Amino acid sequence: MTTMKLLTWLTQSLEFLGGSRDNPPAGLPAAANPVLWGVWWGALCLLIYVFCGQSSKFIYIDF
Amino acid sequence: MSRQMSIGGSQFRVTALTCLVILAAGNLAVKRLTAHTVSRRVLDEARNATSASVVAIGNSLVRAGFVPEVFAPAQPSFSNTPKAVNLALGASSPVEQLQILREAFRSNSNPRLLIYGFYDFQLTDPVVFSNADIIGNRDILYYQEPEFARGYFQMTRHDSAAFEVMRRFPMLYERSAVWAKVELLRRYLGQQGMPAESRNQFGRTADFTLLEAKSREEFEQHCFRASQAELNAPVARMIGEAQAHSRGLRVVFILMPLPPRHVEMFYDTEAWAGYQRHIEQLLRARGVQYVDASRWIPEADKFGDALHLSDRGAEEFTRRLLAECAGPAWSNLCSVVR
Repeated sequence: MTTMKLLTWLTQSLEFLGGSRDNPPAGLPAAANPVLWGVWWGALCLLIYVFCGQSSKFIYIDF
Repeated sequence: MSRQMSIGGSQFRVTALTCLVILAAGNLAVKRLTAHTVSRRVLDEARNATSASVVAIGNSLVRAGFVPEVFAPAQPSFSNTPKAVNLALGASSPVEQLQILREAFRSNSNPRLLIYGFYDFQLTDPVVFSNADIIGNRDILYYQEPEFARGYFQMTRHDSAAFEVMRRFPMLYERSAVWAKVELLRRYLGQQGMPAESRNQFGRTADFTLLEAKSREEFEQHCFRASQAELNAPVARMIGEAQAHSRGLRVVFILMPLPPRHVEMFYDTEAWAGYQRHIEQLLRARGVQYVDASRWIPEADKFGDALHLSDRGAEEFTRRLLAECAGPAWSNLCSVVR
C-alpha cells in the first residue's frame, strides 16, 4: 500500500510540475516555495539548453 | 475543498531571480569548461609561436596535411621554440583564419614564410554565415576581435542582431561545445550493436563527402561563376596583412592534395583549369606564389576520408613541399628553414 501511495504521489507531483494538474499533492515541498520554483525552472532551462542542438549538423565533431 | 495555487508579484520576482541565478551559474560553468577548446588552443599556439619562421594557415586540410616537425625540425640547441608552426583550424573559413593570423603576427615580429593551404573555391566564395552556422571552431568569431571579424562575413540583419547578443554570453557562443558532447553521446548510444563506423581525428569519415559538390555539373557551374570573382575580403586582407607585417615575408598559397576521386571528378575539367588560371592571376598580381599540389599524392590509401590526408600522406606531402620550395624552381623560397 505504501508503495502504491508513493507512486500515486509521484505521479501527481509530476503532473503538477508539468502543468497538467492545477493543485499539488499534499506535502510537495516546492509548491509554496518560490525559490524552489526558481531552481526548478532554472534546471529546466539548462536541460533545454543542453539538448536543443540536435538539429545542428556536426561534421567536424572531434576536431 | 480544493487548494488554489496562486502566486504574488513578490513570489514571482523571487522565482525569476532564482532562475536567473541558476542560468548565470550555468553561464559561468560553460565559460570555465570551454577555456581550452580547439580554437582557443590554436590561438594560444599562435601567441606562443614567437620566433617561428614558417607559419601555416588554413582549414582542416592543412591541419591534417602539414607536419611542422617534418618541414622544419626543431633545433633545441638554438631555440626551444619551433621554426615552423601549424596554425590551421578545422572547419574554419578564411575569416577565422585571418583572426588567427593576426594573433600570430602580434607575437611574431619576423616570420619569413606564410603557407596558406586551400581547396575548391575557398579563395573566391564570399563568406556568408547565419548564427546557426557559427558552431564548433567557428566560435572564435564571437570572442576574438568580433567587431573586426564582423566586417569580413555577411549576415542578415536578424542574424547580425543575434550575433551581437550571443557574443556576450559564453553559454550562447560556446553552445556547440555542450551540444557536441550530447551528440557524441547520441552517436555512442546509436552505435550499440551496430558495425563500427570509420572515424578519423575530425569525425565520421563518411560525413566529409557532404562537403563536396553533389555532381561534376554543379561543380563546373560553380567554376564558371567563381572565375569572374575577385579574392574574397578575408583572403585579400590576409595577403595585405602579411605583406604589411614584414618586408621579407614570402606568401605561398597551396592548393592542397586531394584524393584521386575528388581530382578526377572535379579537377580534371576544363572549367576547373580556367578557374585555376584565374586565381593564379589574382594571386600573382598581389605578389603571392601559387602552388598546385592537388595531384601530389595520387594514392587513395594516403587519405583518411574524402578530403584529408592520413598521417602517412601528410608526412609525404610535407617532405615534397620542403623539397620543392627549397629548390631553384621556387627561388629557394624555403631556405629560411634550412
